[in-house]
Amino acid sequence: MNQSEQKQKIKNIYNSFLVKLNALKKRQFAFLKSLLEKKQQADLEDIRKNFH
Amino acid sequence: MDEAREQPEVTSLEQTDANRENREKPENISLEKTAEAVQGQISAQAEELIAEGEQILSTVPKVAPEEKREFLEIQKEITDLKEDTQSEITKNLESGKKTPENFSRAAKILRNALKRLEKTAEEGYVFSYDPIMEKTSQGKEIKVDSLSWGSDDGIMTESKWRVVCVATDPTDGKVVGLRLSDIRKDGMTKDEKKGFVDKLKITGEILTRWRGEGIAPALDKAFLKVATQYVNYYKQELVGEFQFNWSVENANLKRLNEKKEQGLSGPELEELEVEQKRWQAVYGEGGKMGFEKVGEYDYSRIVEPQMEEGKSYDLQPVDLEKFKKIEAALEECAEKNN
Repeated sequence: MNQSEQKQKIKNIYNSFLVKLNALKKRQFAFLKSLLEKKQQADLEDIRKNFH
Repeated sequence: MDEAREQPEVTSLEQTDANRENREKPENISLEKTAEAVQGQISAQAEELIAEGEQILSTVPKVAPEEKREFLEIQKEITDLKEDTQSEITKNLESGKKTPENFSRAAKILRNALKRLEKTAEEGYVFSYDPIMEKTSQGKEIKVDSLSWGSDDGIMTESKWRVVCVATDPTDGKVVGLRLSDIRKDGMTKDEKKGFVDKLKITGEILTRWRGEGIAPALDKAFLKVATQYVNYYKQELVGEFQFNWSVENANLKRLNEKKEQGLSGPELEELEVEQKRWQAVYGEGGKMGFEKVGEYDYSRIVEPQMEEGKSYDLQPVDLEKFKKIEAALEECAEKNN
């Protein structure tokens, strides 16, 4: 394998990393978003209970 | 949260390269530098994502332990992805390195010599000291095994000791360096204090699988320890005074001067000049190994005995299993360029 082929291979490894990292990024934000919504929902229910 | 979700996707390598285009032409950047830059980028992007996640989580009230656990699992996957990708790049870099032809050839010659010596080893006339662990200037560990035997090259009056050091990478057992040396008689000298002293000359050559990784100095540090053991053995066993002179030739400077005479310039000459600086820092006058200049291209140092009281410096016959293991390791690198 010559240098430019190896550089291309490194590029491919990196691009595949980006795809996987973006998937993890989406998963992390989706998890945090649902967690936050769950907490907000719980807070709302607390307020409602206290109001009644 | 929505703001966070709308963040741009992680930058691609093509874009980063484009930003750099005006400063450095990609074809001029070495493979190692490219790999290093990409690994740095991978690290930065993964860590940034981990930090972002932690920052957002810190704003969430009353996080239950199982929720925290789930979050940490995602973060661990990010860390694993970072480490796996970096290691894949390192492996790619190493697999692409070509074993130099002179190294493969030397490994093949040594392997053939050891094959012929199998019977001698069985009879107990091939010797070996305990392996020596050394670290290269880049912090990589190498394991150095030594083998020695008497050889007369068919001329009985020209008897000498062959001392061979084989450096391997302890993580995969692959040979990364060879030192092929001889210890032979080199006349006598008269010392005011010691009287007549038998001189012995240690010569030889060092070959490494990869250049510029600090293997040679680490291997020679181990070789010095091995040579010292032989000096100690002579002092313990033989009557009289001995002086062991380890000689090295600055072959790189020879090549450099020849190339200059041929009018060579550019990267090839620069590479030889960089190599020369490295050589001088280790073997040159005032260098790390304590050599003195004795000729235009020749440097020498005395290897002094270093004996501990009560310790035996007897030669140890090589363990046959170890002998075969060294043969097998040489087989792997001898095959590389076949």
